[in-house]
Amino acid sequence: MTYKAYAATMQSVWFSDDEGQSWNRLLTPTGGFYNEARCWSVQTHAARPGEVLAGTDQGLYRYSEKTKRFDHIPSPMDGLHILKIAQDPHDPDTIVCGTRPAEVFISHDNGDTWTRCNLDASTECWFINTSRITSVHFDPRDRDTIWITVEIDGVFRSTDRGRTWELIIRGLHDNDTHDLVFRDRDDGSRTILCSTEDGVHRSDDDGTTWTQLRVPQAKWDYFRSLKQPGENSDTVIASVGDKPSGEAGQLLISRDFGESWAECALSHPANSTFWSIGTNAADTDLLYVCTIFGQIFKSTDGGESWTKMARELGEIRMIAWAPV
Amino acid sequence: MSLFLFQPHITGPEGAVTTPDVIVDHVFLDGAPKPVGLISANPWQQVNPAETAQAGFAITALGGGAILSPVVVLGSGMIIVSRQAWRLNNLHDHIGEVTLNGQPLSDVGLPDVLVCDAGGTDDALPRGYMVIGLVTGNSVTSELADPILARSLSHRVVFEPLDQDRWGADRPKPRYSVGPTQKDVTHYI
Repeated sequence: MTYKAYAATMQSVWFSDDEGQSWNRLLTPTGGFYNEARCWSVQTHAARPGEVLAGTDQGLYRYSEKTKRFDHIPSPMDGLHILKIAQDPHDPDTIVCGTRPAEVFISHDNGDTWTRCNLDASTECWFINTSRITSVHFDPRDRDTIWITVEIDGVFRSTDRGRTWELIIRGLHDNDTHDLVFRDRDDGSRTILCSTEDGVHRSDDDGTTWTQLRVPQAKWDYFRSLKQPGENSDTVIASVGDKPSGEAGQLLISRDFGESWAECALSHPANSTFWSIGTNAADTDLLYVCTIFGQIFKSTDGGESWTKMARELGEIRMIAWAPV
Repeated sequence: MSLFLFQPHITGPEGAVTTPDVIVDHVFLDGAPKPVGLISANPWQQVNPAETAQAGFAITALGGGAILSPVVVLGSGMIIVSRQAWRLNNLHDHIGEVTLNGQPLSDVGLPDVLVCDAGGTDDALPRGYMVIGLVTGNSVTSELADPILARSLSHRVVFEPLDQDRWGADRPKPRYSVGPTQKDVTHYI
Protein backbone atom coordinates (compact mmCIF):
# COMPACT_ATOMS: atom_id res chain seq x y z
CA MET A 1 0.00 0.00 0.00
CA THR A 2 1.27 3.44 -0.94
CA TYR A 3 0.17 6.19 1.38
CA LYS A 4 0.87 9.77 2.37
CA ALA A 5 0.89 11.28 5.81
CA TYR A 6 -0.33 14.82 6.39
CA ALA A 7 0.36 17.24 9.23
CA ALA A 8 -1.70 20.41 9.69
CA THR A 9 0.58 22.91 11.35
CA MET A 10 0.84 26.59 12.11
CA GLN A 11 3.03 26.74 9.02
CA SER A 12 0.83 25.14 6.38
CA VAL A 13 0.29 21.46 5.63
CA TRP A 14 3.28 19.12 5.53
CA PHE A 15 3.36 15.94 3.46
CA SER A 16 5.33 12.75 3.93
CA ASP A 17 5.50 10.13 1.20
CA ASP A 18 8.16 7.97 2.85
CA GLU A 19 6.30 6.63 5.87
CA GLY A 20 7.00 9.64 8.05
CA GLN A 21 10.75 9.80 7.61
CA SER A 22 10.81 13.15 5.79
CA TRP A 23 8.24 15.92 5.55
CA ASN A 24 7.83 18.72 3.04
CA ARG A 25 5.44 21.50 2.17
CA LEU A 26 4.23 22.41 -1.30
CA LEU A 27 6.11 24.92 -3.40
CA THR A 28 5.63 28.34 -1.88
CA PRO A 29 4.65 30.33 -5.00
CA THR A 30 2.19 27.82 -6.40
CA GLY A 31 1.17 25.64 -3.48
CA GLY A 32 -2.16 27.41 -3.26
CA PHE A 33 -1.82 29.17 0.02
CA TYR A 34 0.67 30.98 2.18
CA ASN A 35 3.23 28.56 3.51
CA GLU A 36 2.89 30.03 6.98
CA ALA A 37 -0.88 29.89 6.91
CA ARG A 38 -2.25 28.47 10.10
CA CYS A 39 -3.75 25.10 9.33
CA TRP A 40 -5.78 23.31 11.93
CA SER A 41 -7.33 20.43 10.06
CA VAL A 42 -6.83 17.96 7.22
CA GLN A 43 -9.49 15.58 5.98
CA THR A 44 -9.29 12.61 3.62
CA HIS A 45 -12.00 10.30 2.32
CA ALA A 46 -11.63 6.68 1.24
CA ALA A 47 -13.65 7.33 -1.92
CA ARG A 48 -11.28 10.10 -3.04
CA PRO A 49 -7.68 8.93 -2.73
CA GLY A 50 -5.17 11.71 -3.17
CA GLU A 51 -7.62 14.43 -2.23
CA VAL A 52 -7.13 16.40 0.99
CA LEU A 53 -9.31 19.12 2.43
CA ALA A 54 -7.49 21.62 4.62
CA GLY A 55 -8.99 24.08 7.10
CA THR A 56 -6.93 27.22 7.52
CA ASP A 57 -7.07 30.83 8.62
CA GLN A 58 -7.46 31.78 4.95
CA GLY A 59 -10.37 29.57 4.04
CA LEU A 60 -11.07 26.00 3.03
CA TYR A 61 -8.78 24.37 0.49
CA ARG A 62 -8.72 21.19 -1.56
CA TYR A 63 -5.48 19.47 -2.52
CA SER A 64 -5.27 16.92 -5.29
CA GLU A 65 -2.43 14.71 -6.40
CA LYS A 66 -3.21 15.76 -9.97
CA THR A 67 -2.43 19.45 -9.48
CA LYS A 68 -0.11 19.15 -6.48
CA ARG A 69 -1.77 22.31 -5.27
CA PHE A 70 -4.32 23.50 -2.75
CA ASP A 71 -7.24 25.17 -4.52
CA HIS A 72 -9.36 27.61 -2.60
CA ILE A 73 -12.99 26.63 -2.05
CA PRO A 74 -15.02 29.86 -1.73
CA SER A 75 -17.21 29.75 1.35
CA PRO A 76 -18.63 31.99 4.06
CA MET A 77 -15.81 30.70 6.27
CA ASP A 78 -13.10 32.65 4.53
CA GLY A 79 -12.68 35.09 7.39
CA LEU A 80 -12.87 32.43 10.08
CA HIS A 81 -10.54 29.80 11.43
CA ILE A 82 -11.58 26.42 10.06
CA LEU A 83 -10.63 24.10 12.87
CA LYS A 84 -12.32 20.82 11.98
CA ILE A 85 -13.60 19.16 8.81
CA ALA A 86 -15.65 15.99 8.43
CA GLN A 87 -17.06 14.27 5.35
CA ASP A 88 -20.02 11.94 5.34
CA PRO A 89 -18.49 8.45 5.17
CA HIS A 90 -21.18 7.49 2.64
CA ASP A 91 -21.08 10.72 0.60
CA PRO A 92 -17.87 12.73 0.28
CA ASP A 93 -19.83 15.62 -1.25
CA THR A 94 -21.33 16.30 2.17
CA ILE A 95 -18.80 18.30 4.16
CA VAL A 96 -19.17 19.71 7.65
CA CYS A 97 -16.77 22.30 9.00
CA GLY A 98 -16.38 23.62 12.53
CA THR A 99 -14.82 27.01 13.07
CA ARG A 100 -13.68 29.63 15.53
CA PRO A 101 -15.90 31.40 16.56
CA ALA A 102 -17.89 28.25 17.24
CA GLU A 103 -20.05 27.82 14.17
CA VAL A 104 -20.88 24.87 11.95
CA PHE A 105 -21.14 25.10 8.16
CA ILE A 106 -22.48 22.33 5.95
CA SER A 107 -22.19 21.74 2.22
CA HIS A 108 -24.06 18.99 0.39
CA ASP A 109 -22.52 19.70 -3.01
CA ASN A 110 -18.81 19.22 -2.44
CA GLY A 111 -18.29 22.78 -1.26
CA ASP A 112 -20.12 24.70 -4.00
CA THR A 113 -22.69 26.10 -1.57
CA TRP A 114 -22.75 26.30 2.21
CA THR A 115 -25.31 26.66 4.98
CA ARG A 116 -24.48 28.07 8.38
CA CYS A 117 -26.18 26.08 11.08
CA ASN A 118 -28.32 27.69 13.74
CA LEU A 119 -25.97 26.46 16.47
CA ASP A 120 -26.56 27.76 19.94
CA ALA A 121 -22.92 27.55 21.01
CA SER A 122 -21.65 30.23 23.36
CA THR A 123 -20.42 33.30 21.55
CA GLU A 124 -18.11 34.32 24.36
CA CYS A 125 -16.16 32.49 27.02
CA TRP A 126 -14.19 34.19 29.75
CA PHE A 127 -11.45 31.56 29.71
CA ILE A 128 -10.61 31.61 25.99
CA ASN A 129 -12.58 34.68 24.82
CA THR A 130 -14.08 32.91 21.82
CA SER A 131 -15.42 29.38 21.80
CA ARG A 132 -14.39 27.02 19.04
CA ILE A 133 -15.24 23.65 17.54
CA THR A 134 -12.82 20.90 18.57
CA SER A 135 -14.30 17.91 16.75
CA VAL A 136 -17.01 17.02 14.21
CA HIS A 137 -18.39 13.49 13.78
CA PHE A 138 -20.92 11.85 11.53
CA ASP A 139 -22.80 9.36 13.67
CA PRO A 140 -21.61 5.88 12.66
CA ARG A 141 -25.13 4.43 13.09
CA ASP A 142 -27.52 7.20 12.03
CA ARG A 143 -26.63 9.14 8.90
CA ASP A 144 -28.79 12.12 9.89
CA THR A 145 -27.01 12.64 13.19
CA ILE A 146 -23.96 14.85 13.56
CA TRP A 147 -22.01 15.41 16.77
CA ILE A 148 -19.65 18.21 17.68
CA THR A 149 -17.55 19.10 20.69
CA VAL A 150 -17.02 22.74 21.59
CA GLU A 151 -14.23 24.27 23.59
CA ILE A 152 -15.51 25.50 25.97
CA ASP A 153 -19.22 24.69 25.83
CA GLY A 154 -19.79 20.95 25.78
CA VAL A 155 -21.18 18.38 23.36
CA PHE A 156 -23.83 19.21 20.75
CA ARG A 157 -25.90 16.71 18.77
CA SER A 158 -28.04 17.26 15.70
CA THR A 159 -30.39 14.50 14.57
CA ASP A 160 -31.53 16.35 11.44
CA ARG A 161 -28.26 16.95 9.60
CA GLY A 162 -27.49 20.21 11.32
CA ARG A 163 -30.83 21.98 11.14
CA THR A 164 -31.29 21.91 14.93
CA TRP A 165 -28.84 21.21 17.72
CA GLU A 166 -29.09 20.03 21.31
CA LEU A 167 -26.51 20.75 24.01
CA ILE A 168 -25.91 17.60 26.04
CA ILE A 169 -23.65 18.15 29.03
CA ARG A 170 -25.43 16.51 31.98
CA GLY A 171 -22.79 14.85 34.10
CA LEU A 172 -19.77 16.36 32.38
CA HIS A 173 -17.27 17.57 34.96
CA ASP A 174 -15.97 20.03 32.42
CA ASN A 175 -17.47 21.61 29.31
CA ASP A 176 -14.01 21.90 27.76
CA THR A 177 -14.73 19.00 25.40
CA HIS A 178 -12.30 17.79 22.78
CA ASP A 179 -13.23 14.55 21.02
CA LEU A 180 -15.69 11.64 20.83
CA VAL A 181 -15.57 7.95 19.92
CA PHE A 182 -18.53 5.61 19.47
CA ARG A 183 -18.99 1.86 20.09
CA ASP A 184 -22.18 0.32 18.76
CA ARG A 185 -22.87 -3.28 19.70
CA ASP A 186 -24.94 -5.97 18.02
CA ASP A 187 -27.56 -5.79 20.78
CA GLY A 188 -28.24 -2.15 19.94
CA SER A 189 -26.44 -0.72 22.94
CA ARG A 190 -24.02 2.12 22.46
CA THR A 191 -21.21 3.63 24.50
CA ILE A 192 -19.69 7.03 23.75
CA LEU A 193 -16.46 8.33 25.21
CA CYS A 194 -15.74 12.07 25.40
CA SER A 195 -12.33 13.57 26.15
CA THR A 196 -12.25 16.75 28.15
CA GLU A 197 -9.87 19.00 30.03
CA ASP A 198 -10.92 17.04 33.12
CA GLY A 199 -10.56 13.44 32.08
CA VAL A 200 -12.55 11.16 29.83
CA HIS A 201 -16.31 10.76 30.20
CA ARG A 202 -18.61 7.90 29.23
CA SER A 203 -22.22 7.89 28.11
CA ASP A 204 -24.40 4.79 27.79
CA ASP A 205 -27.57 6.68 26.83
CA ASP A 206 -26.51 8.32 23.56
CA GLY A 207 -25.07 11.38 25.23
CA THR A 208 -28.00 12.28 27.47
CA THR A 209 -25.85 11.83 30.57
CA TRP A 210 -22.12 11.50 31.09
CA THR A 211 -20.01 9.91 33.80
CA GLN A 212 -16.38 10.71 34.39
CA LEU A 213 -14.19 7.62 34.08
CA ARG A 214 -11.49 6.79 36.55
CA VAL A 215 -8.24 6.35 34.66
CA PRO A 216 -5.48 5.82 37.20
CA GLN A 217 -2.93 5.25 34.45
CA ALA A 218 -3.35 8.86 33.30
CA LYS A 219 -0.68 11.13 34.71
CA TRP A 220 -2.78 14.17 33.98
CA ASP A 221 -6.44 15.06 33.55
CA TYR A 222 -6.06 16.75 30.16
CA PHE A 223 -7.39 14.30 27.58
CA ARG A 224 -7.26 15.61 24.03
CA SER A 225 -7.78 13.16 21.15
CA LEU A 226 -9.60 9.83 21.16
CA LYS A 227 -9.38 7.47 18.20
CA GLN A 228 -10.30 3.89 17.31
CA PRO A 229 -7.79 2.25 14.98
CA GLY A 230 -10.63 0.30 13.40
CA GLU A 231 -14.22 1.29 12.74
CA ASN A 232 -16.44 0.52 15.73
CA SER A 233 -13.49 -1.07 17.47
CA ASP A 234 -13.23 -1.83 21.18
CA THR A 235 -9.70 -0.47 21.03
CA VAL A 236 -9.30 3.22 21.81
CA ILE A 237 -6.15 5.32 21.86
CA ALA A 238 -6.24 8.42 24.08
CA SER A 239 -3.83 11.35 23.92
CA VAL A 240 -3.05 13.04 27.21
CA GLY A 241 -0.91 15.94 28.38
CA ASP A 242 -0.04 18.00 31.40
CA LYS A 243 -1.95 20.98 30.00
CA PRO A 244 -2.44 22.86 26.72
CA SER A 245 0.06 23.24 25.25
CA GLY A 246 2.04 21.58 28.01
CA GLU A 247 5.49 20.19 28.49
CA ALA A 248 4.80 16.46 28.68
CA GLY A 249 2.37 13.90 27.38
CA GLN A 250 1.43 10.26 27.34
CA LEU A 251 -0.59 7.88 25.21
CA LEU A 252 -3.06 5.43 26.70
CA ILE A 253 -4.65 2.41 25.07
CA SER A 254 -7.84 0.63 26.03
CA ARG A 255 -8.78 -2.73 24.53
CA ASP A 256 -12.23 -2.75 26.13
CA PHE A 257 -13.56 0.67 25.14
CA GLY A 258 -12.55 2.54 28.26
CA GLU A 259 -13.09 -0.09 30.93
CA SER A 260 -9.36 -0.40 31.50
CA TRP A 261 -6.34 1.45 30.20
CA ALA A 262 -2.63 0.88 29.79
CA GLU A 263 0.15 3.29 29.01
CA CYS A 264 1.67 2.95 25.56
CA ALA A 265 5.40 2.48 25.16
CA LEU A 266 7.14 5.53 23.67
CA SER A 267 10.62 5.54 22.16
CA HIS A 268 11.17 9.09 23.41
CA PRO A 269 9.48 11.31 26.00
CA ALA A 270 6.87 13.70 24.67
CA ASN A 271 7.77 17.38 24.67
CA SER A 272 4.17 18.58 25.11
CA THR A 273 0.60 17.32 25.09
CA PHE A 274 -0.21 14.67 22.50
CA TRP A 275 -2.68 16.57 20.34
CA SER A 276 -3.89 14.48 17.44
CA ILE A 277 -4.02 10.82 16.43
CA GLY A 278 -4.12 9.77 12.79
CA THR A 279 -5.84 6.50 11.90
CA ASN A 280 -7.14 4.98 8.70
CA ALA A 281 -9.27 1.89 8.20
CA ALA A 282 -6.99 0.84 5.35
CA ASP A 283 -4.50 -0.45 7.95
CA THR A 284 -5.60 -0.57 11.57
CA ASP A 285 -2.07 -1.32 12.76
CA LEU A 286 -0.63 1.87 11.30
CA LEU A 287 -1.13 5.01 13.37
CA TYR A 288 0.49 8.41 13.64
CA VAL A 289 0.32 10.78 16.57
CA CYS A 290 1.73 14.26 17.13
CA THR A 291 2.46 16.45 20.08
CA ILE A 292 1.32 20.02 19.74
CA PHE A 293 4.94 21.15 19.71
CA GLY A 294 6.02 19.22 16.71
CA GLN A 295 6.95 15.66 17.58
CA ILE A 296 5.61 12.86 15.40
CA PHE A 297 5.39 9.25 16.54
CA LYS A 298 4.39 6.23 14.46
CA SER A 299 3.00 2.89 15.53
CA THR A 300 2.89 -0.22 13.35
CA ASP A 301 1.39 -2.51 15.99
CA GLY A 302 -2.02 -0.96 16.48
CA GLY A 303 -0.88 1.57 19.06
CA GLU A 304 0.90 -0.64 21.57
CA SER A 305 4.31 0.93 20.90
CA TRP A 306 5.40 4.15 19.25
CA THR A 307 8.59 5.29 17.56
CA LYS A 308 9.44 8.95 17.27
CA MET A 309 10.21 10.24 13.80
CA ALA A 310 13.42 12.23 13.46
CA ARG A 311 11.67 15.24 11.88
CA GLU A 312 9.84 17.74 14.05
CA LEU A 313 7.51 20.36 12.63
CA GLY A 314 6.97 23.23 15.03
CA GLU A 315 3.34 23.45 16.14
CA ILE A 316 1.14 20.64 14.82
CA ARG A 317 -2.65 20.70 15.21
CA MET A 318 -3.65 17.55 13.34
CA ILE A 319 -2.04 14.51 11.78
CA ALA A 320 -3.56 12.04 9.30
CA TRP A 321 -2.62 9.46 6.72
CA ALA A 322 -4.38 7.96 3.73
CA PRO A 323 -3.67 5.65 0.79
CA VAL A 324 -2.92 7.45 -2.47
CA MET B 1 -6.24 54.90 6.83
CA SER B 2 -8.90 52.53 5.63
CA LEU B 3 -7.71 49.48 3.79
CA PHE B 4 -8.94 46.31 2.24
CA LEU B 5 -6.87 43.14 2.51
CA PHE B 6 -7.24 41.49 -0.85
CA GLN B 7 -6.19 37.83 -1.03
CA PRO B 8 -6.52 36.94 -4.71
CA HIS B 9 -5.79 33.58 -6.29
CA ILE B 10 -4.03 34.44 -9.52
CA THR B 11 -4.10 31.81 -12.23
CA GLY B 12 -1.28 31.99 -14.75
CA PRO B 13 -1.45 30.92 -18.39
CA GLU B 14 -0.14 27.42 -17.53
CA GLY B 15 -2.64 26.96 -14.72
CA ALA B 16 -0.30 27.71 -11.84
CA VAL B 17 -1.92 29.66 -9.05
CA THR B 18 -0.12 32.26 -6.93
CA THR B 19 -1.64 33.78 -3.83
CA PRO B 20 -0.15 37.10 -2.75
CA ASP B 21 -1.92 39.28 -0.21
CA VAL B 22 -2.24 42.93 -1.16
CA ILE B 23 -3.58 45.99 0.59
CA VAL B 24 -5.91 48.23 -1.41
CA ASP B 25 -6.36 51.74 -0.06
CA HIS B 26 -7.67 53.61 -3.11
CA VAL B 27 -10.52 52.43 -5.32
CA PHE B 28 -11.96 54.11 -8.42
CA LEU B 29 -15.27 53.13 -9.95
CA ASP B 30 -15.64 54.29 -13.55
CA GLY B 31 -13.01 56.88 -12.74
CA ALA B 32 -14.63 58.22 -9.57
CA PRO B 33 -13.03 57.58 -6.16
CA LYS B 34 -15.05 55.48 -3.74
CA PRO B 35 -14.63 54.65 -0.05
CA VAL B 36 -12.43 51.56 0.28
CA GLY B 37 -14.78 50.31 2.95
CA LEU B 38 -17.28 49.49 0.22
CA ILE B 39 -15.06 46.66 -1.04
CA SER B 40 -15.71 43.12 0.01
CA ALA B 41 -14.50 39.79 -1.30
CA ASN B 42 -17.33 37.89 0.37
CA PRO B 43 -19.91 36.85 -2.22
CA TRP B 44 -22.45 35.95 0.47
CA GLN B 45 -24.17 39.26 1.11
CA GLN B 46 -27.15 39.97 3.29
CA VAL B 47 -28.76 42.55 1.10
CA ASN B 48 -32.12 43.29 -0.37
CA PRO B 49 -32.91 41.01 -3.32
CA ALA B 50 -34.61 43.93 -5.02
CA GLU B 51 -31.30 45.73 -5.20
CA THR B 52 -29.77 46.30 -8.59
CA ALA B 53 -26.35 44.97 -9.52
CA GLN B 54 -23.86 45.61 -12.29
CA ALA B 55 -21.11 43.36 -13.53
CA GLY B 56 -17.61 44.62 -14.11
CA PHE B 57 -13.93 43.99 -13.70
CA ALA B 58 -11.39 45.20 -11.18
CA ILE B 59 -7.72 45.88 -11.84
CA THR B 60 -5.56 45.77 -8.75
CA ALA B 61 -1.97 46.93 -8.39
CA LEU B 62 0.59 44.22 -7.64
CA GLY B 63 4.37 44.06 -7.81
CA GLY B 64 4.39 41.39 -10.51
CA GLY B 65 1.91 43.33 -12.60
CA ALA B 66 -1.69 44.39 -12.11
CA ILE B 67 -4.33 41.70 -11.91
CA LEU B 68 -7.80 41.46 -13.43
CA SER B 69 -10.75 40.11 -11.41
CA PRO B 70 -14.51 39.89 -11.96
CA VAL B 71 -16.54 42.24 -9.80
CA VAL B 72 -20.21 42.93 -9.07
CA VAL B 73 -21.23 46.38 -7.85
CA LEU B 74 -24.54 46.63 -6.03
CA GLY B 75 -26.95 49.52 -6.22
CA SER B 76 -26.15 50.27 -2.60
CA GLY B 77 -22.57 50.94 -3.63
CA MET B 78 -21.06 47.73 -2.28
CA ILE B 79 -18.22 46.46 -4.45
CA ILE B 80 -18.01 42.67 -4.38
CA VAL B 81 -14.75 41.58 -5.94
CA SER B 82 -13.86 38.00 -6.77
CA ARG B 83 -10.74 36.44 -5.25
CA GLN B 84 -10.02 34.83 -8.63
CA ALA B 85 -7.73 36.78 -10.89
CA TRP B 86 -5.54 36.77 -13.96
CA ARG B 87 -2.34 38.69 -14.42
CA LEU B 88 -2.92 41.55 -16.85
CA ASN B 89 0.45 41.03 -18.51
CA ASN B 90 -0.62 37.51 -19.48
CA LEU B 91 -3.47 39.05 -21.48
CA HIS B 92 -1.49 41.82 -23.09
CA ASP B 93 -1.23 40.28 -26.56
CA HIS B 94 -4.90 39.28 -26.78
CA ILE B 95 -6.77 41.65 -24.50
CA GLY B 96 -9.11 42.47 -27.38
CA GLU B 97 -10.37 38.89 -27.28
CA VAL B 98 -11.26 38.91 -23.59
CA THR B 99 -14.95 39.31 -22.81
CA LEU B 100 -17.01 40.24 -19.79
CA ASN B 101 -20.42 38.54 -19.73
CA GLY B 102 -19.98 37.97 -23.45
CA GLN B 103 -19.20 41.58 -24.21
CA PRO B 104 -15.70 42.61 -25.40
CA LEU B 105 -13.75 44.40 -22.71
CA SER B 106 -13.11 47.14 -25.23
CA ASP B 107 -16.82 48.01 -25.01
CA VAL B 108 -16.39 48.55 -21.27
CA GLY B 109 -13.09 50.32 -21.29
CA LEU B 110 -9.81 48.62 -21.98
CA PRO B 111 -7.79 47.90 -18.84
CA ASP B 112 -4.76 49.86 -20.02
CA VAL B 113 -6.97 52.94 -20.52
CA LEU B 114 -8.31 52.64 -16.98
CA VAL B 115 -4.79 52.13 -15.68
CA CYS B 116 -3.62 55.21 -17.54
CA ASP B 117 -6.56 57.27 -16.30
CA ALA B 118 -5.62 56.28 -12.76
CA GLY B 119 -2.08 57.49 -13.22
CA GLY B 120 -0.44 54.20 -14.17
CA THR B 121 1.22 52.86 -17.27
CA ASP B 122 0.73 49.54 -19.04
CA ASP B 123 0.08 46.99 -16.30
CA ALA B 124 1.59 49.07 -13.49
CA LEU B 125 -0.94 50.81 -11.31
CA PRO B 126 0.09 53.05 -8.43
CA ARG B 127 0.64 51.02 -5.27
CA GLY B 128 -2.56 50.34 -3.34
CA TYR B 129 -4.87 51.16 -6.25
CA MET B 130 -7.87 49.24 -7.54
CA VAL B 131 -9.76 50.54 -10.59
CA ILE B 132 -13.12 49.18 -11.71
CA GLY B 133 -14.99 49.26 -14.99
CA LEU B 134 -18.68 48.33 -15.31
CA VAL B 135 -20.95 47.07 -18.04
CA THR B 136 -24.48 48.38 -18.33
CA GLY B 137 -27.48 46.27 -17.38
CA ASN B 138 -28.55 44.41 -14.27
CA SER B 139 -26.52 41.30 -13.42
CA VAL B 140 -25.43 39.56 -10.24
CA THR B 141 -22.93 37.48 -12.20
CA SER B 142 -19.70 38.61 -13.72
CA GLU B 143 -17.79 36.25 -15.99
CA LEU B 144 -14.50 37.00 -17.64
CA ALA B 145 -13.68 34.75 -20.59
CA ASP B 146 -10.33 34.35 -22.27
CA PRO B 147 -10.90 32.33 -25.47
CA ILE B 148 -7.23 32.33 -26.43
CA LEU B 149 -6.11 30.57 -23.25
CA ALA B 150 -9.46 28.74 -22.97
CA ARG B 151 -10.29 29.79 -19.44
CA SER B 152 -12.84 31.84 -17.55
CA LEU B 153 -13.41 33.44 -14.16
CA SER B 154 -16.97 33.46 -12.85
CA HIS B 155 -18.19 35.51 -9.91
CA ARG B 156 -21.70 35.60 -8.44
CA VAL B 157 -23.29 37.52 -5.60
CA VAL B 158 -25.82 35.65 -3.48
CA PHE B 159 -28.67 37.67 -2.02
CA GLU B 160 -30.31 37.03 1.30
CA PRO B 161 -33.58 38.78 2.15
CA LEU B 162 -33.47 41.40 4.87
CA ASP B 163 -37.18 41.40 5.64
CA GLN B 164 -37.34 38.00 7.28
CA ASP B 165 -35.37 36.21 9.95
CA ARG B 166 -34.49 32.78 8.61
CA TRP B 167 -34.38 31.32 12.11
CA GLY B 168 -37.36 33.30 13.44
CA ALA B 169 -38.32 32.45 16.99
CA ASP B 170 -35.65 29.75 17.08
CA ARG B 171 -32.86 32.30 16.98
CA PRO B 172 -31.09 31.95 20.31
CA LYS B 173 -29.94 34.73 22.56
CA PRO B 174 -26.19 35.09 22.91
CA ARG B 175 -24.89 32.77 25.57
CA TYR B 176 -21.96 33.05 27.91
CA SER B 177 -19.88 30.00 28.70
CA VAL B 178 -18.59 29.63 32.23
CA GLY B 179 -15.47 27.87 31.06
CA PRO B 180 -13.92 24.96 32.87
CA THR B 181 -14.87 25.87 36.45
CA GLN B 182 -18.57 24.95 36.18
CA LYS B 183 -19.23 27.93 38.44
CA ASP B 184 -20.85 31.27 37.86
CA VAL B 185 -18.24 33.77 36.81
CA THR B 186 -18.19 37.51 36.46
CA HIS B 187 -17.35 39.02 33.13
CA TYR B 188 -14.04 40.72 33.74
CA ILE B 189 -14.66 43.72 31.51
